Amino acid sequence: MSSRSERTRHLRERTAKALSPAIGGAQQFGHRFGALFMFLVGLIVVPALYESGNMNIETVNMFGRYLAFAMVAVGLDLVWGYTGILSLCQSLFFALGGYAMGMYLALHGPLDEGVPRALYVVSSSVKGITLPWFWEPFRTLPVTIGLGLLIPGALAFVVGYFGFVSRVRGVYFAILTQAITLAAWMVFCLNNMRLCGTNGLTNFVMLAGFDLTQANTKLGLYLITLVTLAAVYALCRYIVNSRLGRVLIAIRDNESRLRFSGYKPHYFKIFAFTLSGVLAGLAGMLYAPQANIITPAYMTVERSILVVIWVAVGGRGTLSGAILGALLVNLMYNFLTTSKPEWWPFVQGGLFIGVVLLLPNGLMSLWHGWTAKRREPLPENGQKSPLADGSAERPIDAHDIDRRFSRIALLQREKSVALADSELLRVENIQVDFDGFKALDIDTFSVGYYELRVIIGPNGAGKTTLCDVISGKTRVATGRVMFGTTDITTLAEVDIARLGVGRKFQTPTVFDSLTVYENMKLALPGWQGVWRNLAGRETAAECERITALLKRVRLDDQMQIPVKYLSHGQRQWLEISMLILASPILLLVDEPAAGLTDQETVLTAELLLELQSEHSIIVIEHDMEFVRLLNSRVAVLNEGKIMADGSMDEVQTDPKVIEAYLGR
Amino acid sequence: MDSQRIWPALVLWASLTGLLSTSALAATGDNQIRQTMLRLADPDADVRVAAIEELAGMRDGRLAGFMRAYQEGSLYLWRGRLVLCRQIVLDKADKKTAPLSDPLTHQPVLIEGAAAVVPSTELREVSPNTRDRKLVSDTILVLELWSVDPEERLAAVQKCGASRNAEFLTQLADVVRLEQLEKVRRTARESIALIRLVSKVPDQKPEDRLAAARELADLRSARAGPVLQDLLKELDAPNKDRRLVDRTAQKVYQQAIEQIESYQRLVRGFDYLKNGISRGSILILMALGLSIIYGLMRVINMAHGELMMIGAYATYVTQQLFVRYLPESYFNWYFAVSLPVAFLAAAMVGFLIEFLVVRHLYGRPLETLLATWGVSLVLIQAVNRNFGYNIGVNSPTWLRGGVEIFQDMVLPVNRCFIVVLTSFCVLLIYGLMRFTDLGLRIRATMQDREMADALGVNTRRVDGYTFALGAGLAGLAGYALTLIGGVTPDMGQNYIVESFLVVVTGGVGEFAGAIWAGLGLGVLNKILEPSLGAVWGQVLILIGVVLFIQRRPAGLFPPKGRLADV
Amino acid sequence: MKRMKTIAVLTLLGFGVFAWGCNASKSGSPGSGGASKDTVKVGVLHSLTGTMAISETSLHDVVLMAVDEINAAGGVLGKQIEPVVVDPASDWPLFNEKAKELITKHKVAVTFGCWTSVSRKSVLPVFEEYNQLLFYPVQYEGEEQSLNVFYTGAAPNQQLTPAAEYMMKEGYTKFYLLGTDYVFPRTANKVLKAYLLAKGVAESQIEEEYTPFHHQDYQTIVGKLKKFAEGGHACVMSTINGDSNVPFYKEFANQGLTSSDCPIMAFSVAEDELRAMDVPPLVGHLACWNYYQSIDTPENQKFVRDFKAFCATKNLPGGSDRVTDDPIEAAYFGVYVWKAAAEKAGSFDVDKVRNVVYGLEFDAPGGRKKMDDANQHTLKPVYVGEILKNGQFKITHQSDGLVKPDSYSSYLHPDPSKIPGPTGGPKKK
Repeated sequence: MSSRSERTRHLRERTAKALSPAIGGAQQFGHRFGALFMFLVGLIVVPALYESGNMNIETVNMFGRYLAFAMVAVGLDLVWGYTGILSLCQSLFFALGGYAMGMYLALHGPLDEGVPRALYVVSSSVKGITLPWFWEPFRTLPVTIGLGLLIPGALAFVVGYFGFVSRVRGVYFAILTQAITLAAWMVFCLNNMRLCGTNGLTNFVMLAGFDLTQANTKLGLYLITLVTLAAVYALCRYIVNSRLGRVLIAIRDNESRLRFSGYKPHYFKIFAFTLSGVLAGLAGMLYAPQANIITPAYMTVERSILVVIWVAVGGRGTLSGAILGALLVNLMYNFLTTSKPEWWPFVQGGLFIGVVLLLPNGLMSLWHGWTAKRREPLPENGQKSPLADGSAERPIDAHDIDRRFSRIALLQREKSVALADSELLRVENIQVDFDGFKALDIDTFSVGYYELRVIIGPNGAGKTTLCDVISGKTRVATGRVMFGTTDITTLAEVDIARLGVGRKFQTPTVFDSLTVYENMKLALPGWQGVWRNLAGRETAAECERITALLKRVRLDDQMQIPVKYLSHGQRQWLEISMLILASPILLLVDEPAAGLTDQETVLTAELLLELQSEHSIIVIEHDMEFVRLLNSRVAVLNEGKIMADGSMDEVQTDPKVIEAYLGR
Repeated sequence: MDSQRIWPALVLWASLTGLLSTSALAATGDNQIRQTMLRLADPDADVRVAAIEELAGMRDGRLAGFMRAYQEGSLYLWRGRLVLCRQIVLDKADKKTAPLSDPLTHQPVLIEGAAAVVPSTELREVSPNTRDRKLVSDTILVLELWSVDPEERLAAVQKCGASRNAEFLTQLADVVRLEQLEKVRRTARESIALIRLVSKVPDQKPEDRLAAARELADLRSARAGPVLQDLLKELDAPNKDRRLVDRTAQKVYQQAIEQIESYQRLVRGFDYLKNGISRGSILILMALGLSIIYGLMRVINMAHGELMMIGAYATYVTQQLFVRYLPESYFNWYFAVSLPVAFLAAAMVGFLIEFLVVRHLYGRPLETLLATWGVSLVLIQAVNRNFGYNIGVNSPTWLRGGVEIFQDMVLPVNRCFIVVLTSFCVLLIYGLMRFTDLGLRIRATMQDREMADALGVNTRRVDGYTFALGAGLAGLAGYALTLIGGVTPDMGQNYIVESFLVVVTGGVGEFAGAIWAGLGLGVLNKILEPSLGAVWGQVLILIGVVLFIQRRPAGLFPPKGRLADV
Repeated sequence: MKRMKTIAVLTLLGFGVFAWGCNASKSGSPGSGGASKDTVKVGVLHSLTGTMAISETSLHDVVLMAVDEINAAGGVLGKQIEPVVVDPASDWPLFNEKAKELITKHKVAVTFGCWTSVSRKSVLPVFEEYNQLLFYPVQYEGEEQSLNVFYTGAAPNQQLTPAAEYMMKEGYTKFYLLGTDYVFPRTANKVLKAYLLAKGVAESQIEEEYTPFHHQDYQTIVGKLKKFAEGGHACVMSTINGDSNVPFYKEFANQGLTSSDCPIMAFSVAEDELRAMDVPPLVGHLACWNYYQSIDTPENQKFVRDFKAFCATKNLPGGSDRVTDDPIEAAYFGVYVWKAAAEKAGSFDVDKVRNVVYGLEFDAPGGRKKMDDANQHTLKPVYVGEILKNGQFKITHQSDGLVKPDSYSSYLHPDPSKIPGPTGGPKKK
């Protein structure tokens, strides 16, 4: 296990080196400046060109349509780039908004026998036709706009709710949304649905009293789209910069860690997904009057993939990249289909492959590379750049270690006095079954208040499974787990975490793309709600606590560095610090010493002993030297059963244990 | 029974009887037939009618073709003899000329050893006038009853029944007496009964009509269903006097309908199952490759449909090569040859894709989605540029038509072939994964890439082979699809979404899951489609899959234990 | 370092492509837009990629052939025609964009293009807004009359009702109306149904069924058809579109049905589509069109020969195996109609050209035809053809002379006063 993580870490460090210019404040600056620049070009240059006769109105109109596409891309970037949810539903949301506006426009266009021409043509019958009931609400603009936002939003909410609550993720969610898009497309194509079938809605003439064929209307629509896009961008930028943005990234990096920190990630995902649906609907509503047509061809799966491609080409996880990508890919498509009618699939296909292979972070990474070069970030606090020498670790000197050993001895002595008298956690008669393999079978196991309990055992003995059971990740077949007076046997991870059970995983699970400081901020207790994350800021006291804790584990110098550049040991400590920050009642610590150097091991032992004064702790460990340092009550687990329980010396002399460890 | 397989024997038998009848006609011989035929060119209408009737009585299957040519006006008088000319063509000097052939044997007419092509001015058309047309078409039907081709005989027998013309009764009775083929005999009985049931047959008693109805019920005649319904409706017509309703007839008809209907229900059940399995087998074939690739590399291969298309085009190219370079008798073999060709072509393209694109995107599954989407664009257009649209793959003759295993239960041969091919592939993959060294490496890499790497498995090479294997399976799917669908550059797009659904429903990397999911979706689709229509059936399935994924996010066979990533 | 290098290479490559593209588009457009001194631009708006390429590519090819011929013969009004080819990629909104581009950027004098109804509906507002001309070469559902479109394909009464009439005459009494679910089959079947009911066919004898676009699995429907055909005298009127035809006909043959059990009368299957099919099992099925490759006149034989030669010399896929069919002919003579009109009007001005098109008589490969005096359609002969073994049609029935087109079917609009007036045309001041 550890060799695997070592290797991935190594890989990460290599990528980190290659990408080093892209980190730091320049990134933020690049985003803002780029977007502002684009906005100003759109607001001033394009109308100026048009007014001076250098650009024809259809080109302005084309930009207007592409800006609407860009809005969809921004929405997708929020869910895909930041939150890591690949949605193939965006085109459907877009088309729903477009249809809402389209129905309004069709009702205000030419009518035949009282129904819009588009509808009359596809259903012209001998018997005549009346307007279907669901067309009625779209007679007035305000209701149309409301519904155009509400319908895609509601659909996104429902899809998100069912998908995320049952933890459909990754490819599965992509395929699920793909299926929904396909189903909707098929339904909209049906002529009988009275949504005008494959022909879609056409013959748009008037929008709120303005003639859509007039050049000024087209210019106006362009400007409205541009301003709306700017507002959407600002909103998304605000979200991304808020705490909620950090949570979204944390979901992308490591959703289960977040759950064990007491967050309910599905709420955040639903929020982001619904918002992206609403944005796509808004884009669709702005698009329809500019394109003069809306058909089911807009809600195909291919179109949804195209939105993903816009974001990927521009650069995922950078909102301005989504806009850039949408504009560029569409302009290219438009350009190539005229100038290279039979060659454009080659060029376009080649470009997608090329961008993915050579520019995995999209075109924006070119921009970032450039700005970073120009403004090489100065190492903060006068310290040299952590990556300059490939290692971010501070050496621990020998003198320091001696001091720590004496401190450990002191702590051990104190501990033996303060033994707990009442039980915090009690596990009774539990059994866990994996396809007939009995992974765990424990009659009783308990932990007292302020007790440090160690569990040892060979590989596959069920140690981690026991942790999983306590923290709610694995369900028991029979038995009961009591935490204090609460039965937590069937509770979800989040609820258990909120009751005060913190967990550290075997391999450190932290949020790689976030900085050390941001990681800590996410672990703050009381910040787990969606709205609070969107609007609030941490108090000074909370910030101070974080700084203090980080100083304690010697990470205070690395506070602003993304976690992916940290060493293994530092990641272990960061995870433990995050646990402490949440001040849980019970700490589950899974192999804290794995993969650490001797010095780091000592530091970790000291930390755990210190913590015992405030928390109950269960430590799972292999390393006997480490266990000896902890000098606590030890339970030996073998083949799912507790084989011995007592002090380290008792356990070590137990013949059964010797047999299990050394073999017959 | 198995009409497909026993055809060769039948043809042999038919040609033997043909020979026998020719020798029986030795006294008259072809010469007399030709003499009679020549009388069709006589200006006297009565002579012509007599000649037609005489020809009708000859029961020589070849004459059906002759009469058809007569009817459509391809028959000409040339230098005192009757000749056949299908089409007048323009020669190099833009003059109309006619290639001639013999009206009876359809062999080219020879002049001094060369096929005769004469200026069209030398020909005088011989064709029936409006009055004779009806007689001619009846004659064709009668002659077809004695055709050498059993299919044609069967069709003729059916047409006689459909005509409801009592004049055919004697001919049909002769067919029942003389015909060797059970199915034709049975159909002839059915046709007789149908005519008796509906038409005004001279000196027929009312009981005969009821007997005909019972006969049809015994035959489980599907064709009789609607006819009986109509008769029943006539009996029940509201304007009729209630007392005059023929109760016995009503009862007999009702019973007959009931009997036929209950059998038809059985047939429908069989159809659901057959259609579902057939659809499922195609989905499985597609999904197998996809599942292997996804299971091993976590790569969503959007170009999978295009690999399938490559397989179909490879089949097309093989066919074209056969047509161009080998004699026609070898044509049917192209399909056997193109099986490995399709597999290898797609596998090679797959290997290249892996080598050039996928390999560099290791560990970034969503990016591969985009890159392979780009690959699919390129592949579609590359094929479009080089082969264009509207190309046809003709099924080999042995894969055409259907086998009637029971009455009215037809198994189309091509679909059976696909089911067999799919089962073969499944077994092959299973064997490969279980029992070979490569399979072991593949499984090892699938389960723990780092560990396999550490143990000296060249995982990069395994990736390449696996991708090629998955691609090859897609190629086979394309090969199979040429039997039932069209071949177009974008054909892959029609199947890709559904294949994804199968893989996801089954559980990623689980072959058993893919098989169950494929069959399940196929059969479900075919059960829903008849009542809901193609669209709503499909929509319902999609919604079903969505709900299923929602209930079981990891598919039918989710991974369990500590590896479970939930 | 290596990454930076690849990025640089990629950027260079991107600029290269861009420059190349710019160059190419420049070399294709001498002069700054509009008709320059010795050339006149015409737009060609047919999908070359995507799902409709299967049908539209041939139309694109034949329009270019007509342009080549006209240019070789001296052009129009002394000017060479310069075709501006764009690819709307079977993407309906893109049709709209491309139409705008052809009109406003390239300033074409006329456009030849579109196949599907939705693409026509998509570009219609553009042509009306800018008062430009479109020649539309495909049979369609009618119910439309725009002064900016000339329809060189069949109106419903030039294809649908004659076919139904023919089938009734042949003794068929049960009709299965089967189509792809979009506006042409829907309206076509409505016209057919109205016609059949008016001719005394009982409603119970008519079945209607639709499948989605690109439907590939016709097992269930052929099963239903089999049941439908059991009583005899049944036929299928098929408006199945594009790539669904191949699986449909294959399934039909493989489930043991033949043209003698239940013939299929098709409205969207022509010689070009038959190239993709396994023809022997299809022999005897029918189609109704206004032109067949097999029309036996020297003019047509020359047209067929020329088209094959054109495809072979231009190295187009299929080469000399290519065939002609109804929409190909209609696309081809559309160019000539425009040429004749422009010459008669002595100008490329849209309003002048339009006015002389009405009543224009001309020679097409399939014989002499005439544009209607009052509406935008073409007077055409109607043929019913039977599929032969070689993928060609044998004409089994033909109309007496040219059939006058109705843009609004009289079976759907019994009251002529209620028929909507034409749309588009010159801008009212």
